[in-house]
Amino acid sequence: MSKRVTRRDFLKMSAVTAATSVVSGCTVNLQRTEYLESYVEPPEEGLPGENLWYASTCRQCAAGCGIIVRVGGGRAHKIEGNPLHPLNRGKLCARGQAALQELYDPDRLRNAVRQTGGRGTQQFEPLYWEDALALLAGKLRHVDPATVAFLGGNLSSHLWLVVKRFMKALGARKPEVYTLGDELEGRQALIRGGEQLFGVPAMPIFDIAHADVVFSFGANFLETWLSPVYYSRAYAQMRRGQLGNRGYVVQFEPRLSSTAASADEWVALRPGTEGLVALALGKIIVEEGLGGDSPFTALYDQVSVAEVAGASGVPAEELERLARIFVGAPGQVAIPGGAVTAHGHGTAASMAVHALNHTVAQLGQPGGVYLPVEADVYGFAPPPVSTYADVCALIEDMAAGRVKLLLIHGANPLFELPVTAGFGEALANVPFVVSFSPTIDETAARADLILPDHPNLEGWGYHVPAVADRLVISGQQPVIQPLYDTRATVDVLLALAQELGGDLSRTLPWPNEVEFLKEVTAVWQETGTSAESFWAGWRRRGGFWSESEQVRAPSISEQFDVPLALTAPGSGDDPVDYPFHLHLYPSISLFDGRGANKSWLQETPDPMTTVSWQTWIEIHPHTAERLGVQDNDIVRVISPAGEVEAIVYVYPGIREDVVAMPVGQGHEDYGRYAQGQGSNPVRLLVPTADEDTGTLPWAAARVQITPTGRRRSLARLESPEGVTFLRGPEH
Amino acid sequence: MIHPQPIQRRGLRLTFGAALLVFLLMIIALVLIQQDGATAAEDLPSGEAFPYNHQKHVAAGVECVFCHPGALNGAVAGVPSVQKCVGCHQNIQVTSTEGQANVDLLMHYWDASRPLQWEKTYDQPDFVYFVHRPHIAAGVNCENCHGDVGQMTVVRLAYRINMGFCLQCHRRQAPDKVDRLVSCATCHH
Repeated sequence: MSKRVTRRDFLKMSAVTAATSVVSGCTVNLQRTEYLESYVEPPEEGLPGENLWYASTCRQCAAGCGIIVRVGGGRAHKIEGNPLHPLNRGKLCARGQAALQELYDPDRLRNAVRQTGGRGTQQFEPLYWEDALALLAGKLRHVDPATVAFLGGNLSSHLWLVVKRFMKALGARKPEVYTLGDELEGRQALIRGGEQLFGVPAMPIFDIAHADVVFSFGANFLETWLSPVYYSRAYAQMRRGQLGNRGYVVQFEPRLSSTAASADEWVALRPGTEGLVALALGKIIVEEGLGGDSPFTALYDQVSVAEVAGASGVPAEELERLARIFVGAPGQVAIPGGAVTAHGHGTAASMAVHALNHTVAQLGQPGGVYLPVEADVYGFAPPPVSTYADVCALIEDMAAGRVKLLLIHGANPLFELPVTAGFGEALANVPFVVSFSPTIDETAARADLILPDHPNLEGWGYHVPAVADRLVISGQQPVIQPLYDTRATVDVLLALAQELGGDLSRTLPWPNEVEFLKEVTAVWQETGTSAESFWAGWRRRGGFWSESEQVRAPSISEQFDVPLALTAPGSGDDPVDYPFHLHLYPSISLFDGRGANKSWLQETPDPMTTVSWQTWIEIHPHTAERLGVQDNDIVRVISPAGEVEAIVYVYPGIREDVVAMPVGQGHEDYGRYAQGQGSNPVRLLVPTADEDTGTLPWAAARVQITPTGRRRSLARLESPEGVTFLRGPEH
Repeated sequence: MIHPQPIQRRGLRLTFGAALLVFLLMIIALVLIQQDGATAAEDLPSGEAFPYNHQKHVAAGVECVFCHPGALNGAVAGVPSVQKCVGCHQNIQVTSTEGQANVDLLMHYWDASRPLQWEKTYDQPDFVYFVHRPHIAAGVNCENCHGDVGQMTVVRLAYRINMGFCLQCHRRQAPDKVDRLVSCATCHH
């Protein structure tokens, strides 16, 4: 520098520089330019800035609640319950709300793909749909039809109708429909129980709304059981107090769920003794004449209350007291949850619970048990559910090479079944596997060809709810134009049927899904209305339903007249090696794992533990002390079938001989939010189907716990400050 | 009074100088970066918006609300979709080579399914909730606020639409309406 810089000059320069930078910061905003982008093709309906609501059906579980979706600018922004829909009347659970993330999932498939690198390599090559359909049609033409199998999961009723006809006309194997969620809720067992006892293969409806006393045997109806929004509404109605009655709920389960927490009493019985307790209660009622005169008392001839007290851990005085509560008011109902049929002797246990309703003459009475009316029109029923035994038979066929072409829709057996059930190994013997999954889950990752279905919000259809107190056919329509080049599975099957001709094209004559729906649903059109106005009304309302309740009274079965004997559950596997009962329950947000790819659901804290994103194991404080483990310790959970790791959550709401784990995490695929989170406790289940009911006996599992010495903090909302049982050695 | 001593040592001078220079360069760079709002948007064809000529289209008889129906019915006027432009231009003939080049560019966007970019000339801050419909319903012409767009080959800001601009008209309305029209909550709810 030629000029000497004095300190004064330096300070002046600094000040000016600083001032300039501040001023430049001020001017930046005024000079900002915004850009607008045109649509390439604008949404068909609606103007810019305007929101429209479309009615559809939630398909996150079999419940089938009606939804309305707010769409603006061709984008779905918000899902709410449909206020007109008789099942949920405007309410919706978290999983339904999060279905938006299924639509905008960044890991969704955008085309039909072939896994050209071989199964499991994750090397996918996109295909034109014409080529994909030609490929599949070719396979179907040349394979023996008896070796074609279909495994469905969360199917809607209209897809079930098409699949059933397709497989029948093809001459293929009977389609199986199975999900882990259905298994944990005991859906198949409930329907089977209904058939055996009442002669109707339908899900009984438990009229909680009008009940005064509810004895729930493990049915977690406020969280996930069967139709949680419907039953939660019914529960709310009960609690509102008709004529001053708030109702009285007793929850019988080994672990405190949200339902138990909302109940008036929680009875922590030993796992596997639900049926026994129901029998003991019935015995007390009949013996002491508490329920008026019961015509069939022979049922309880072989029941000993003292023995039940010993086996269940519920003292005889408690059983007496509970029996008196049950008959304390005229409207009572006993509800069999999934755990009732997930041990051995499930049929008898389920019957024991139903017998309780019968003993107090509540079959077909307000506040009791009903059966739904049968839609006297073919094709409008909830899809049937296969048993675990049926799936095992399929696996056996696959392993023996009797299945040459496997089609999978809405099911993820490589995640949902115990690993030792052998689905993975059996898959190796199936030459061609086709998945219709919109995302690459564990099973789709082992498919040869993926023909992604539209996610629920982009698709057409109808669904008959699993539980409904009237005829409801819930309609489904796309709320936006499909984002990617996916195709409705019904359209794929219809196209294949046309291509293959013969019986197939005769039983499935429609050119596309919409024509199929218009024709099939027209049967409900009232006389005097035009087809166009009916179809428009169908879409506007969100389906078709009866405005008034329609139920049937179950007929009294003679089986209630025969003595029912239930043995106490054995200790099963060596009680020394595996000292704890394992209680699995579906996560309220992730359900059976299908919600794990939605970050909103991952972020939703569990209502009882407030944990999110991880897998924990609930251990009673005394048990934890005995084992030498504390909160946030990582332990190995070992069963005869396998082992997983989980983080300890010390939880007083559980029996000391029981540990509980939520199902839903532990994915190895299924998108960025699901992968690598937590562990899958289904691995711990022994894969033998129960001889009696055909269920996977998940409630009979036993495990041992071994500390690993490692720790990891659970992501909780709650603070453990001030909780005395957690005060252990400082960590 | 002691005169301030200049910084004598050469080493110190150089260091100060270098630091000042670096600091100044940083400031200049920051100002330049922030001025270029274009880096926030994607897919800008060499920094330009699409060369659309209003004058030619209005001369051909196209009404404002044909391409901007949102002004009449919706919350925002919006810009037409590529499909709207292609609707006419796939059939009609354009009489100049420059015009044809522009139509070719349009068809290129349509074939590639790419959206067109427009520089937003009339923009209100986010705290102003402006809706076209009541203005059109009250009989206000588009030209009143947007100037004679029918004569513009490139859209330019005819008036600076700030609060004063809105109020000078709002204040002149019928007495029974003025209270509502000058109320804060009407536009800033």
